[in-house]
Amino acid sequence: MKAGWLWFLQRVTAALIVIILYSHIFRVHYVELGQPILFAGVALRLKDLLILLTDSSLLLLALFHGLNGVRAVLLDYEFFTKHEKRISWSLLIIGIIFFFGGVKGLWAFLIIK
Amino acid sequence: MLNNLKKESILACQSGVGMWAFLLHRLTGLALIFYLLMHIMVISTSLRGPHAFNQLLAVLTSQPFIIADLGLLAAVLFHGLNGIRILFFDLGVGIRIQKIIFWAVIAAAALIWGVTLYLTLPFIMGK
Repeated sequence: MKAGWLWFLQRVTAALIVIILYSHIFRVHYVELGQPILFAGVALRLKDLLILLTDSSLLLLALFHGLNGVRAVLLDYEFFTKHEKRISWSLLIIGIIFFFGGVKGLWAFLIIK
Repeated sequence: MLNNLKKESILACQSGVGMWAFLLHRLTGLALIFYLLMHIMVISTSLRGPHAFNQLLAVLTSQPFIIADLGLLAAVLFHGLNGIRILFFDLGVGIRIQKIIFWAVIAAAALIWGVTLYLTLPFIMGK
């Protein structure tokens, strides 16, 4: 992918993350401030399809934005620029692993009775 | 993107406040991606059943972790609000008053953080 595209996607994901992440934090940590976080409560919350879809998109957006950010930081140092391909691939693989791991954790509740 | 980043850092270094914004944005960004990966692993504990999840979350909602969460919130607020600041600059808006916007970002983050500290204090003291 061209560097310009990555730069552009970093901005687009940033704008989306600000909206989705701040509502995620507000909903989970301010509305129920001080309540213990229990499996039963999380299971109940994650049976809502709308929450599952927003949480899954946030997972994807945040992983992309974060790992692409790490890539940008690393490539700012001359030491790493010669390993650009290796860095990009490694971060992509980390992203894919954590995305599917996260999706598995999120969507598992839909089938728990 | 590399050229852009270099331009950004050169611009940032020319004005003191911008340099701090740039540096803080990087440091909080690196802290946040580290947290995100931990967060995914923690929430995935649910796959090991209610007992394992509740046990881990009881630890993670104890006093030292609430205090750490306030640090996390500070990073999230700065990175997010300063990110909006950067987005405006990329659209060509507000570059001339970038220092004022930086302090507005700090003020907004400090306000939300302060209110949250006030709301959280009983739980820090109570346990």
